[in-house]
Amino acid sequence: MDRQRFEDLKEAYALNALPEEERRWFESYLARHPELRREVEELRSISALLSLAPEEQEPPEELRRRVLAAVEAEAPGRRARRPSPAERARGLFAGRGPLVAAAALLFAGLLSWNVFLQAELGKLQQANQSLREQAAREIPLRATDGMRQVEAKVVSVGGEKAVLVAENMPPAPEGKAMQIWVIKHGEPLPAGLFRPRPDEEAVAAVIERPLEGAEAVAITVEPEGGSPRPTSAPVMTAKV
Amino acid sequence: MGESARRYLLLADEDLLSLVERRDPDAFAALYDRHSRAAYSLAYRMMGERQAAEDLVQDAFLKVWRSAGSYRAERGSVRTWILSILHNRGIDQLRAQASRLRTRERLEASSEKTQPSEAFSETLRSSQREQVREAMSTLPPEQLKILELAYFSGYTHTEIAELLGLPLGTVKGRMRLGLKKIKEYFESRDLAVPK
Repeated sequence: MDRQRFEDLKEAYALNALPEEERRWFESYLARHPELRREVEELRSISALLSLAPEEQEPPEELRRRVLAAVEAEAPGRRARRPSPAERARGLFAGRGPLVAAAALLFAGLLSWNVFLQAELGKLQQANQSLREQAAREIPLRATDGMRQVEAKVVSVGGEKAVLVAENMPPAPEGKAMQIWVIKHGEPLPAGLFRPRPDEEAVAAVIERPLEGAEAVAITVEPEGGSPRPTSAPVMTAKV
Repeated sequence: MGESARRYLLLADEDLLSLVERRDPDAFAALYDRHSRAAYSLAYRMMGERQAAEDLVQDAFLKVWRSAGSYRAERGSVRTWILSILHNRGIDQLRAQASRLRTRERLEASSEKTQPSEAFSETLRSSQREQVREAMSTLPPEQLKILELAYFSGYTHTEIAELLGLPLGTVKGRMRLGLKKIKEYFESRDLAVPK
Protein backbone atom coordinates (compact mmCIF):
# COMPACT_ATOMS: atom_id res chain seq x y z
CA MET A 1 0.00 0.00 0.00
CA ASP A 2 2.79 2.38 0.98
CA ARG A 3 4.73 1.38 -2.09
CA GLN A 4 1.77 2.24 -4.24
CA ARG A 5 1.54 5.65 -2.58
CA PHE A 6 5.25 6.18 -3.23
CA GLU A 7 4.75 5.38 -6.92
CA ASP A 8 1.80 7.74 -7.02
CA LEU A 9 3.71 10.68 -5.55
CA LYS A 10 7.27 10.38 -6.86
CA GLU A 11 6.94 12.67 -9.90
CA ALA A 12 5.23 15.40 -7.89
CA TYR A 13 7.99 15.08 -5.28
CA ALA A 14 10.65 15.46 -7.99
CA LEU A 15 8.91 18.62 -9.18
CA ASN A 16 8.74 19.97 -5.62
CA ALA A 17 4.94 19.93 -5.95
CA LEU A 18 3.85 17.96 -2.90
CA PRO A 19 1.97 19.64 -0.08
CA GLU A 20 3.99 19.73 3.14
CA GLU A 21 2.37 16.72 4.79
CA GLU A 22 2.77 14.45 1.77
CA ARG A 23 6.35 15.63 1.30
CA ARG A 24 7.20 14.65 4.86
CA TRP A 25 5.60 11.23 4.41
CA PHE A 26 7.46 10.72 1.12
CA GLU A 27 10.83 11.62 2.62
CA SER A 28 10.37 9.38 5.60
CA TYR A 29 9.39 6.48 3.30
CA LEU A 30 12.45 7.18 1.16
CA ALA A 31 14.67 7.19 4.23
CA ARG A 32 13.40 3.69 5.06
CA HIS A 33 13.93 2.48 1.47
CA PRO A 34 17.33 3.68 0.27
CA GLU A 35 17.10 1.35 -2.74
CA LEU A 36 14.54 3.77 -4.20
CA ARG A 37 16.78 6.82 -3.95
CA ARG A 38 18.39 6.34 -7.32
CA GLU A 39 15.05 6.41 -9.11
CA VAL A 40 14.03 9.57 -7.26
CA GLU A 41 17.40 11.21 -8.01
CA GLU A 42 16.90 10.50 -11.69
CA LEU A 43 13.43 12.05 -11.63
CA ARG A 44 14.85 15.09 -9.87
CA SER A 45 17.58 15.42 -12.52
CA ILE A 46 14.96 15.38 -15.24
CA SER A 47 12.76 17.93 -13.51
CA ALA A 48 15.82 20.13 -12.85
CA LEU A 49 16.25 20.42 -16.62
CA LEU A 50 13.26 22.74 -16.60
CA SER A 51 15.52 25.34 -15.00
CA LEU A 52 17.31 25.70 -18.35
CA ALA A 53 14.15 26.29 -20.35
CA PRO A 54 13.25 29.94 -19.63
CA GLU A 55 13.92 32.58 -22.22
CA GLU A 56 17.36 34.01 -21.50
CA GLN A 57 17.53 37.28 -19.62
CA GLU A 58 20.70 39.31 -19.15
CA PRO A 59 21.25 40.05 -15.45
CA PRO A 60 21.81 43.76 -14.80
CA GLU A 61 25.39 44.90 -14.19
CA GLU A 62 24.26 46.60 -10.99
CA LEU A 63 23.20 43.22 -9.59
CA ARG A 64 26.71 41.87 -10.26
CA ARG A 65 28.24 44.80 -8.40
CA ARG A 66 25.88 44.28 -5.48
CA VAL A 67 26.52 40.55 -5.17
CA LEU A 68 30.30 40.87 -5.52
CA ALA A 69 30.42 43.73 -3.01
CA ALA A 70 28.51 41.61 -0.47
CA VAL A 71 30.96 38.76 -1.02
CA GLU A 72 34.02 41.02 -0.82
CA ALA A 73 32.74 42.32 2.51
CA GLU A 74 32.70 38.77 3.86
CA ALA A 75 36.01 37.63 2.32
CA PRO A 76 38.83 37.17 4.83
CA GLY A 77 41.58 39.82 4.55
CA ARG A 78 39.45 41.65 2.03
CA ARG A 79 41.11 44.31 -0.02
CA ALA A 80 40.96 47.86 1.26
CA ARG A 81 38.36 49.84 -0.62
CA ARG A 82 39.97 51.84 -3.40
CA PRO A 83 39.32 55.56 -3.04
CA SER A 84 37.26 57.16 -5.79
CA PRO A 85 39.12 59.41 -8.32
CA ALA A 86 37.66 62.51 -6.60
CA GLU A 87 38.92 61.30 -3.23
CA ARG A 88 42.35 60.60 -4.69
CA ALA A 89 42.51 64.10 -6.19
CA ARG A 90 41.51 65.67 -2.88
CA GLY A 91 44.24 63.70 -1.12
CA LEU A 92 46.82 64.75 -3.69
CA PHE A 93 46.22 68.45 -3.25
CA ALA A 94 45.63 68.51 0.51
CA GLY A 95 47.79 71.28 2.12
CA ARG A 96 49.34 72.38 -1.17
CA GLY A 97 47.64 75.76 -1.80
CA PRO A 98 50.45 77.59 -3.73
CA LEU A 99 51.11 74.55 -5.85
CA VAL A 100 47.44 74.40 -6.76
CA ALA A 101 47.46 78.11 -7.81
CA ALA A 102 50.45 77.57 -10.12
CA ALA A 103 48.86 74.49 -11.55
CA ALA A 104 45.67 76.47 -12.23
CA LEU A 105 47.62 79.04 -14.34
CA LEU A 106 49.34 76.31 -16.27
CA PHE A 107 46.00 74.58 -16.72
CA ALA A 108 44.41 77.74 -18.24
CA GLY A 109 47.21 77.93 -20.83
CA LEU A 110 46.88 74.29 -21.70
CA LEU A 111 43.12 74.65 -21.97
CA SER A 112 43.26 77.03 -24.94
CA TRP A 113 45.79 74.77 -26.71
CA ASN A 114 43.47 71.87 -26.00
CA VAL A 115 40.47 73.66 -27.56
CA PHE A 116 42.44 74.01 -30.81
CA LEU A 117 43.49 70.36 -30.74
CA GLN A 118 39.94 69.18 -29.99
CA ALA A 119 38.63 71.02 -33.06
CA GLU A 120 41.24 69.31 -35.24
CA LEU A 121 40.52 65.96 -33.66
CA GLY A 122 36.80 66.38 -34.28
CA LYS A 123 37.41 66.87 -38.01
CA LEU A 124 39.64 63.80 -38.17
CA GLN A 125 37.15 61.66 -36.26
CA GLN A 126 34.38 62.71 -38.62
CA ALA A 127 36.46 61.75 -41.64
CA ASN A 128 37.46 58.46 -40.00
CA GLN A 129 33.85 57.59 -39.11
CA SER A 130 32.74 58.25 -42.64
CA LEU A 131 35.48 55.97 -44.03
CA ARG A 132 34.62 53.24 -41.52
CA GLU A 133 30.95 53.35 -42.43
CA GLN A 134 31.83 52.91 -46.05
CA ALA A 135 34.28 50.10 -45.51
CA ALA A 136 33.43 48.01 -42.49
CA ARG A 137 30.58 46.48 -40.52
CA GLU A 138 31.04 45.28 -36.96
CA ILE A 139 29.00 42.48 -35.43
CA PRO A 140 29.49 41.84 -31.72
CA LEU A 141 29.71 38.21 -30.62
CA ARG A 142 27.65 37.07 -27.69
CA ALA A 143 29.51 35.06 -25.09
CA THR A 144 27.94 31.97 -23.62
CA ASP A 145 27.89 31.69 -19.85
CA GLY A 146 31.56 30.94 -19.24
CA MET A 147 33.13 33.72 -21.30
CA ARG A 148 31.19 36.76 -20.25
CA GLN A 149 34.26 38.93 -19.84
CA VAL A 150 35.46 38.32 -23.37
CA GLU A 151 34.67 41.07 -25.84
CA ALA A 152 34.73 39.95 -29.44
CA LYS A 153 33.40 41.15 -32.73
CA VAL A 154 33.41 40.21 -36.37
CA VAL A 155 34.63 43.05 -38.53
CA SER A 156 33.45 42.54 -42.07
CA VAL A 157 35.30 44.48 -44.73
CA GLY A 158 33.53 45.08 -48.02
CA GLY A 159 31.23 42.06 -47.63
CA GLU A 160 33.83 39.54 -48.80
CA LYS A 161 36.47 39.45 -46.09
CA ALA A 162 36.03 39.44 -42.37
CA VAL A 163 38.22 39.39 -39.30
CA LEU A 164 37.45 38.24 -35.80
CA VAL A 165 38.84 40.49 -33.07
CA ALA A 166 38.68 39.41 -29.42
CA GLU A 167 39.83 40.94 -26.14
CA ASN A 168 40.38 39.05 -22.89
CA MET A 169 40.06 35.70 -24.65
CA PRO A 170 41.61 33.10 -22.32
CA PRO A 171 44.35 30.87 -23.74
CA ALA A 172 43.05 27.63 -25.24
CA PRO A 173 43.63 24.55 -23.04
CA GLU A 174 46.70 22.40 -23.77
CA GLY A 175 46.33 20.58 -27.09
CA LYS A 176 43.29 22.66 -28.09
CA ALA A 177 42.60 25.64 -30.33
CA MET A 178 39.72 28.00 -30.90
CA GLN A 179 37.91 27.25 -34.15
CA ILE A 180 35.73 29.69 -36.05
CA TRP A 181 32.57 28.43 -37.79
CA VAL A 182 30.45 30.17 -40.38
CA ILE A 183 26.91 28.78 -40.29
CA LYS A 184 25.07 28.63 -43.58
CA HIS A 185 21.68 26.94 -44.02
CA GLY A 186 22.07 25.56 -40.50
CA GLU A 187 25.37 23.88 -41.42
CA PRO A 188 28.54 24.86 -39.50
CA LEU A 189 31.47 25.28 -41.91
CA PRO A 190 35.05 25.48 -40.57
CA ALA A 191 36.43 29.00 -41.06
CA GLY A 192 39.82 29.15 -39.35
CA LEU A 193 41.72 28.41 -36.17
CA PHE A 194 43.45 30.63 -33.66
CA ARG A 195 45.25 30.19 -30.37
CA PRO A 196 45.10 33.12 -27.95
CA ARG A 197 48.38 33.40 -26.04
CA PRO A 198 48.49 33.97 -22.28
CA ASP A 199 50.54 37.17 -22.68
CA GLU A 200 48.28 38.94 -25.16
CA GLU A 201 45.04 40.63 -24.22
CA ALA A 202 43.74 41.00 -27.78
CA VAL A 203 43.78 38.59 -30.68
CA ALA A 204 42.71 38.86 -34.31
CA ALA A 205 42.02 36.04 -36.77
CA VAL A 206 40.96 36.02 -40.41
CA ILE A 207 37.60 34.35 -41.06
CA GLU A 208 38.43 32.07 -43.93
CA ARG A 209 34.99 31.98 -45.53
CA PRO A 210 32.86 34.79 -46.92
CA LEU A 211 29.97 35.82 -44.68
CA GLU A 212 27.62 36.39 -47.55
CA GLY A 213 24.49 34.27 -47.04
CA ALA A 214 25.64 33.17 -43.56
CA GLU A 215 23.24 33.08 -40.64
CA ALA A 216 25.77 33.09 -37.84
CA VAL A 217 29.39 32.92 -36.76
CA ALA A 218 30.42 30.78 -33.80
CA ILE A 219 33.61 29.86 -31.92
CA THR A 220 34.20 26.48 -30.31
CA VAL A 221 37.16 24.88 -28.52
CA GLU A 222 38.50 22.05 -30.70
CA PRO A 223 41.53 19.75 -30.92
CA GLU A 224 44.67 21.63 -32.04
CA GLY A 225 44.40 20.80 -35.75
CA GLY A 226 40.72 21.72 -35.93
CA SER A 227 37.66 19.56 -36.56
CA PRO A 228 35.54 19.07 -39.68
CA ARG A 229 32.43 19.47 -37.49
CA PRO A 230 32.06 21.08 -34.05
CA THR A 231 32.76 18.69 -31.19
CA SER A 232 31.78 21.06 -28.41
CA ALA A 233 29.16 23.71 -27.68
CA PRO A 234 30.03 27.22 -28.89
CA VAL A 235 31.70 29.61 -26.46
CA MET A 236 30.71 32.66 -28.52
CA THR A 237 28.15 33.27 -31.23
CA ALA A 238 26.91 36.09 -33.42
CA LYS A 239 23.95 36.28 -35.74
CA VAL A 240 25.06 37.80 -39.01
CA MET B 1 41.50 41.98 -17.01
CA GLY B 2 44.50 40.57 -15.14
CA GLU B 3 46.22 37.35 -16.11
CA SER B 4 45.01 35.53 -12.99
CA ALA B 5 41.40 36.55 -13.65
CA ARG B 6 41.70 35.29 -17.22
CA ARG B 7 43.04 31.97 -15.92
CA TYR B 8 39.86 31.52 -13.88
CA LEU B 9 37.84 31.57 -17.08
CA LEU B 10 39.08 28.12 -18.04
CA LEU B 11 38.91 26.45 -14.64
CA ALA B 12 36.20 23.82 -14.23
CA ASP B 13 33.22 24.77 -12.09
CA GLU B 14 34.23 22.25 -9.43
CA ASP B 15 37.70 23.84 -9.16
CA LEU B 16 36.20 27.31 -8.87
CA LEU B 17 33.86 26.08 -6.17
CA SER B 18 36.79 24.61 -4.22
CA LEU B 19 38.43 28.04 -4.34
CA VAL B 20 35.16 29.65 -3.25
CA GLU B 21 35.08 27.27 -0.31
CA ARG B 22 38.50 28.69 0.59
CA ARG B 23 36.91 32.16 0.45
CA ASP B 24 38.41 33.35 -2.85
CA PRO B 25 36.20 36.23 -4.11
CA ASP B 26 37.79 36.21 -7.59
CA ALA B 27 36.82 32.57 -8.06
CA PHE B 28 33.32 33.46 -6.89
CA ALA B 29 33.19 36.29 -9.44
CA ALA B 30 34.14 33.85 -12.21
CA LEU B 31 31.46 31.43 -11.05
CA TYR B 32 28.91 34.25 -10.91
CA ASP B 33 29.79 35.36 -14.44
CA ARG B 34 29.42 31.81 -15.68
CA HIS B 35 26.01 31.07 -14.17
CA SER B 36 24.31 34.37 -13.41
CA ARG B 37 22.57 34.51 -16.77
CA ALA B 38 20.92 31.09 -16.29
CA ALA B 39 20.12 31.96 -12.66
CA TYR B 40 18.61 35.32 -13.52
CA SER B 41 16.59 33.83 -16.39
CA LEU B 42 15.11 31.23 -14.04
CA ALA B 43 14.50 33.80 -11.30
CA TYR B 44 12.77 36.14 -13.71
CA ARG B 45 10.64 33.31 -15.05
CA MET B 46 9.59 32.35 -11.51
CA MET B 47 9.08 35.78 -9.97
CA GLY B 48 7.76 37.59 -13.04
CA GLU B 49 9.40 40.94 -12.31
CA ARG B 50 12.91 42.32 -12.22
CA GLN B 51 13.35 43.47 -8.63
CA ALA B 52 12.13 40.22 -7.12
CA ALA B 53 14.27 38.28 -9.60
CA GLU B 54 17.37 40.30 -8.65
CA ASP B 55 16.74 39.77 -4.94
CA LEU B 56 16.34 36.04 -5.50
CA VAL B 57 19.58 35.79 -7.50
CA GLN B 58 21.49 37.75 -4.85
CA ASP B 59 20.06 35.58 -2.10
CA ALA B 60 20.94 32.36 -3.95
CA PHE B 61 24.51 33.41 -4.83
CA LEU B 62 25.21 34.51 -1.28
CA LYS B 63 24.14 31.05 -0.19
CA VAL B 64 26.58 29.60 -2.76
CA TRP B 65 29.35 31.76 -1.25
CA ARG B 66 28.50 30.79 2.32
CA SER B 67 27.92 27.08 1.80
CA ALA B 68 30.16 26.05 -1.10
CA GLY B 69 31.36 23.16 1.07
CA SER B 70 27.95 21.52 0.99
CA TYR B 71 28.14 20.82 -2.76
CA ARG B 72 28.28 17.10 -3.61
CA ALA B 73 29.53 16.33 -7.12
CA GLU B 74 27.80 12.93 -7.19
CA ARG B 75 24.40 14.64 -6.99
CA GLY B 76 24.83 16.73 -10.14
CA SER B 77 26.77 19.55 -11.74
CA VAL B 78 27.66 22.84 -10.05
CA ARG B 79 25.19 24.62 -12.30
CA THR B 80 22.36 22.27 -11.28
CA TRP B 81 23.30 22.84 -7.64
CA ILE B 82 23.24 26.63 -7.98
CA LEU B 83 19.95 26.57 -9.88
CA SER B 84 18.39 24.19 -7.35
CA ILE B 85 19.33 26.56 -4.51
CA LEU B 86 17.68 29.37 -6.41
CA HIS B 87 14.67 27.25 -7.32
CA ASN B 88 14.03 26.09 -3.74
CA ARG B 89 14.29 29.62 -2.40
CA GLY B 90 12.03 30.90 -5.16
CA ILE B 91 9.40 28.26 -4.41
CA ASP B 92 9.53 29.17 -0.71
CA GLN B 93 9.01 32.82 -1.56
CA LEU B 94 6.17 32.14 -3.96
CA ARG B 95 4.40 29.94 -1.44
CA ALA B 96 4.91 32.46 1.33
CA GLN B 97 3.26 35.26 -0.59
CA ALA B 98 -0.03 35.98 1.13
CA SER B 99 -1.78 37.07 -2.01
CA ARG B 100 -0.48 35.17 -4.93
CA LEU B 101 -0.13 37.18 -8.07
CA ARG B 102 0.27 34.04 -10.09
CA THR B 103 -2.81 34.56 -12.13
CA ARG B 104 -4.25 32.08 -14.55
CA GLU B 105 -3.53 34.48 -17.42
CA ARG B 106 0.14 34.73 -16.59
CA LEU B 107 0.44 30.97 -16.45
CA GLU B 108 -1.44 30.44 -19.65
CA ALA B 109 0.93 32.81 -21.38
CA SER B 110 3.87 30.93 -19.92
CA SER B 111 3.79 28.00 -22.29
CA GLU B 112 4.82 30.32 -25.10
CA LYS B 113 7.92 31.40 -23.21
CA THR B 114 9.44 27.94 -23.19
CA GLN B 115 8.93 27.17 -26.83
CA PRO B 116 12.25 26.57 -28.53
CA SER B 117 13.85 29.74 -29.73
CA GLU B 118 14.63 29.99 -33.41
CA ALA B 119 17.18 27.28 -33.89
CA PHE B 120 19.43 28.62 -36.55
CA SER B 121 22.23 26.13 -36.56
CA GLU B 122 23.21 22.66 -35.57
CA THR B 123 26.06 24.13 -33.59
CA LEU B 124 23.75 26.07 -31.37
CA ARG B 125 21.27 23.24 -31.03
CA SER B 126 24.04 21.18 -29.50
CA SER B 127 24.02 23.30 -26.39
CA GLN B 128 22.19 21.84 -23.45
CA ARG B 129 19.79 24.72 -23.26
CA GLU B 130 18.69 24.13 -26.81
CA GLN B 131 18.35 20.41 -26.21
CA VAL B 132 16.15 21.02 -23.19
CA ARG B 133 13.95 23.46 -25.05
CA GLU B 134 13.64 21.04 -27.90
CA ALA B 135 12.74 18.23 -25.48
CA MET B 136 10.06 20.42 -23.95
CA SER B 137 8.67 21.34 -27.33
CA THR B 138 7.84 17.66 -27.85
CA LEU B 139 5.43 17.69 -24.89
CA PRO B 140 1.70 18.10 -25.49
CA PRO B 141 0.61 21.52 -24.18
CA GLU B 142 -1.49 20.04 -21.37
CA GLN B 143 1.55 18.19 -19.97
CA LEU B 144 3.87 21.15 -20.42
CA LYS B 145 1.49 23.48 -18.62
CA ILE B 146 1.29 21.23 -15.57
CA LEU B 147 5.08 20.89 -15.34
CA GLU B 148 5.41 24.67 -15.59
CA LEU B 149 2.74 25.36 -12.98
CA ALA B 150 4.57 23.08 -10.58
CA TYR B 151 8.17 24.00 -11.36
CA PHE B 152 8.10 27.70 -12.08
CA SER B 153 5.09 28.86 -10.11
CA GLY B 154 5.36 26.65 -7.05
CA TYR B 155 1.88 25.16 -7.13
CA THR B 156 1.34 21.80 -5.47
CA HIS B 157 -0.39 19.04 -7.42
CA THR B 158 -3.63 19.57 -5.48
CA GLU B 159 -3.56 23.30 -6.21
CA ILE B 160 -3.01 22.61 -9.91
CA ALA B 161 -5.95 20.22 -9.97
CA GLU B 162 -8.11 22.89 -8.38
CA LEU B 163 -6.83 25.66 -10.64
CA LEU B 164 -7.42 23.72 -13.84
CA GLY B 165 -10.57 21.92 -12.69
CA LEU B 166 -9.01 18.49 -13.25
CA PRO B 167 -9.08 15.33 -11.14
CA LEU B 168 -5.91 14.98 -9.04
CA GLY B 169 -5.16 11.67 -10.75
CA THR B 170 -5.07 13.41 -14.13
CA VAL B 171 -2.58 15.99 -12.85
CA LYS B 172 -0.31 13.27 -11.46
CA GLY B 173 -0.62 11.31 -14.69
CA ARG B 174 0.40 14.32 -16.79
CA MET B 175 3.37 14.99 -14.54
CA ARG B 176 4.46 11.38 -14.95
CA LEU B 177 4.05 11.40 -18.73
CA GLY B 178 5.73 14.80 -19.10
CA LEU B 179 8.89 13.80 -17.22
CA LYS B 180 8.94 10.43 -19.00
CA LYS B 181 8.76 12.12 -22.37
CA ILE B 182 11.66 14.46 -21.59
CA LYS B 183 13.74 11.46 -20.52
CA GLU B 184 12.82 9.59 -23.69
CA TYR B 185 13.84 12.59 -25.81
CA PHE B 186 17.41 12.29 -24.54
CA GLU B 187 17.50 8.50 -24.65
CA SER B 188 16.21 8.32 -28.22
CA ARG B 189 19.09 10.54 -29.34
CA ASP B 190 21.72 8.73 -27.31
CA LEU B 191 22.21 11.89 -25.27
CA ALA B 192 22.95 11.82 -21.57
CA VAL B 193 20.42 13.69 -19.46
CA PRO B 194 22.38 16.85 -18.51
CA LYS B 195 23.24 17.00 -14.80
